[in-house]
Amino acid sequence: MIRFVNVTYTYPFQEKPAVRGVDLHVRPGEFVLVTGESGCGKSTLMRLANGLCPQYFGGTLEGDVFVGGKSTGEMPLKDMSRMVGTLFQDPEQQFFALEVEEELAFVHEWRGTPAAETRRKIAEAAKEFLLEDLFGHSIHELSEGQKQKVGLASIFSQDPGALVLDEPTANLDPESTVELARRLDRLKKSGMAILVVDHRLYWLEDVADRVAVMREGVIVAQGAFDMLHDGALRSACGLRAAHVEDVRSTLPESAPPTKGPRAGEKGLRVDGLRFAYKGQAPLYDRASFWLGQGVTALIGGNGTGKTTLARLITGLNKAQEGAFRINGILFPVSEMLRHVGIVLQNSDHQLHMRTVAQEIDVCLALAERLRGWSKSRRSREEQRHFLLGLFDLEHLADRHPQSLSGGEKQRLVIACAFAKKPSILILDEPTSGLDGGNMKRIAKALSLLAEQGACVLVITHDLELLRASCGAAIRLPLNGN
Amino acid sequence: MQVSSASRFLGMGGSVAPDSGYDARARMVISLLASIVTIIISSVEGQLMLLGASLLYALSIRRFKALTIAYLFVAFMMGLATLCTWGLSSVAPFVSFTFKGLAVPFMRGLVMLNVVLPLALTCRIQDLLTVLKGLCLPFCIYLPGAVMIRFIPTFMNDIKQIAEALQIRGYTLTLGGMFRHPLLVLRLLFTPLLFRSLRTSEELGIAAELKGLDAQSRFVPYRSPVWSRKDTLLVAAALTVIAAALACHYLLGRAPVAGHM
Amino acid sequence: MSLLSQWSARELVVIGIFAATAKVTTLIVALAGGGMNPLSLMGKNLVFTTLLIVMLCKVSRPGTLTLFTVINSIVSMLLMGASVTLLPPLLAGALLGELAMWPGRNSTGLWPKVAAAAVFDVVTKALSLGVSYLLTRENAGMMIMIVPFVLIGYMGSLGGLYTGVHAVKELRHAGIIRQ
Repeated sequence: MIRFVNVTYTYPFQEKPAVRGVDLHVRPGEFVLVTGESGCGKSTLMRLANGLCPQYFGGTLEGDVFVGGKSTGEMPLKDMSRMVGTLFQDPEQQFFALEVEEELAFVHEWRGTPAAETRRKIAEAAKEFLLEDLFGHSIHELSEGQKQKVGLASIFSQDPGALVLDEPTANLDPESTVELARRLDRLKKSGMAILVVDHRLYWLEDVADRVAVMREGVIVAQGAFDMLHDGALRSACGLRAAHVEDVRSTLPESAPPTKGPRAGEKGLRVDGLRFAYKGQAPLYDRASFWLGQGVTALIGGNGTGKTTLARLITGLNKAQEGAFRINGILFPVSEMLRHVGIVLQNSDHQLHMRTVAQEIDVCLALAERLRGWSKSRRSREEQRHFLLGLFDLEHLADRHPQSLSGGEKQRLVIACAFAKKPSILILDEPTSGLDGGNMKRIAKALSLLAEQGACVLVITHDLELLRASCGAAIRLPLNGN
Repeated sequence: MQVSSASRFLGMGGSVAPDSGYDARARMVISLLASIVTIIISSVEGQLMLLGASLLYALSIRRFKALTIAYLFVAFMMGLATLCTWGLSSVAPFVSFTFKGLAVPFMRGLVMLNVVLPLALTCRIQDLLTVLKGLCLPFCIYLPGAVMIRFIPTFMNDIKQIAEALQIRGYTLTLGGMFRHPLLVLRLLFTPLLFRSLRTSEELGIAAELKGLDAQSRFVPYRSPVWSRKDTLLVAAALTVIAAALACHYLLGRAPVAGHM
Repeated sequence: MSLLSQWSARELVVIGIFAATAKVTTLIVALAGGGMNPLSLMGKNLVFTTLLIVMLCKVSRPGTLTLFTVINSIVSMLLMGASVTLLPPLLAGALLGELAMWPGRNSTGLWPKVAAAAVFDVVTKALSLGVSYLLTRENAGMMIMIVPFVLIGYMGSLGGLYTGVHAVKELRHAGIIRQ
């Protein structure tokens, strides 16, 4: 169905090809996983499969890419789109309508499909993906898993022969990831050719028929999923684990050293926390918890209020009641942000300056002002150098922050949060979309901060990060609710 | 829960207007007619007729709090304008300061407020997209229009997140700071949004290509918006009011207003 | 019809996204500043002109400014019931802006776009005074008061020409706009 024959592709304004000499075949009813470290060319492979390269991005293509037996060079994108469906990491960015039903109908309406036919297609897709109850819902109200289902249902309703997915699990919790694997398996069995590009591997152990590992634009290994159990291969290519143990239920509960608050205790103690969104039942009702030194995971299902809790601790959302003590000292909520660092998921919104180095410098200067430190220019330069090295950003110091890849931006915003030297740091999904090497780098940095006495709270669906760095867990819903 | 477009934009979510049952197109037609007629009519009598009818129309959505806030704001602005006009008239004799000269422009503003609020507060954003579809516009107008409406709530949320990110970093934006360092403030607030817009346009552009959309696309709606008898009656009532206001203007209030230039 | 089909879907998406950004930012700046204060008046005009220049660099095609204006007007009418009377000045501004850009239509440089934005700003501001006259013609004092507000707004637009050039240069540095 999708066939690459000795393909070499170079983006415009680039000298080095993004992929070189690729030979790959995805047959109908076959599932192929492509993996490799960030920047290895796997996303380019996906763009070649759906025709975006070179038809949208330009550049030069050598060799041939065939879809359904036809060369992609001979077909306009419009025709290609009927043969290959594509789903990206953030499906919401692909939606043109604001409600589920309208989104499913959108593409058919603009392809001139008769109304009755459109109704039949979206009814079938909704039935297959269990979306009937969500028809009137706004896309903004959907969970990441539901958005993914809407994106897949929209593609399914167009009846393509092949499906291409780019990092589909980056925003999904483990349960939604398992459900996605099950759905893709069904689609494969119905005869669809499926090409998935992803860093996370474990979820496809029972689904992928073949795996291609890429490095610097070349497929360096191709074979059955079992080859990913080879530690040397994974290490050489910056891959994540092929099998991951779920430690969510075995991590010890984060427990305070004494029952009541005590002067000099090291950590964050929150008592009597009360919060409800306007017009809704309380999310926290006289809840208490303890965050001690070390790396702690915040664990809970969708909608249990993990991000809300992080926002309450920092005062971004105002708690209706609650006592916040850091190291035994009571602080008003309005003071919390002076002591607590938080890294939210939206790295795009947090980068303002012209270069990566400037971004870090500004954060160091702000931290000095906030804490009343006075540091020499040399000391600041040393700090910057240390942070750039810790997050492997040295070679990017002069690049514009907004021109970095998603993973590089993620590392930069974490480096900026480290610049504040917070005694408490909260991170919301710090490793989504990162390859094995960078995931380990973040885990190491968090452990380093914890060793220096900080309390680190991690909100994550990433089972590998949980296993690599977390020593305790706070589980939602909290006691007292 | 269906939250109205403007209330969601303006962060007034929470309480939602009872569904009026009127088609967004009917409300649009009324706004359009009102904007033309208020300009034509320059008599107090005619404007009073429009103001009374439009106020009833605005009250019919029962969003009293939003209406009160809007009226208070407009009253404040009118107060300022009155003061300035009075000041000007005392130094420049050719500027007259009369009740009629002030009342007509103010009533124009209030009439527009009365017709705009029901449209903004009762129509869901998806309704506006449906209306856009119903206008049978060419693809090159429909697609950017739909994208614009679709992404307004997203960008509203982005701005909130950008402000939060600054707060987290430790920036304190003050009015004085805006005067002293306007370029820095612009960079902090505007740069992330500009890049986000460009990135969104790139991603959505790719999605459009992958959905096979192009200028030759032929649109066949799978569901059409419903124009009911109620909508026809609403537009008919509006036309009647307009006719009455024009009659008032031409029969009762055609005398030139003091201060006419 | 061939004129209307010259834009690709991705270019139309860029126009839509920038129209949304312009609408949202100007609305937020106006609301944050309480409507008519000079700083917010200047700010919203500055942001609008900056976005206009960046958009014209992204979609460098005759007719883009006019299409952007038409879409902005239609959606403003749908969304906020904006007065239909504002449409003629905006359209006139857009068409004259296109005319200013015409000699450099095949150039990939920045200056034809800046010229288009500058002409658009001047014409729309001047003609909006005409619309203001229609709305306040019964009172000369009010008209006199409106003029400084329009001038302050125009100063913001002038600033926007500078920040627009600056923004495009930065986008080129970031590799997001390429020539």
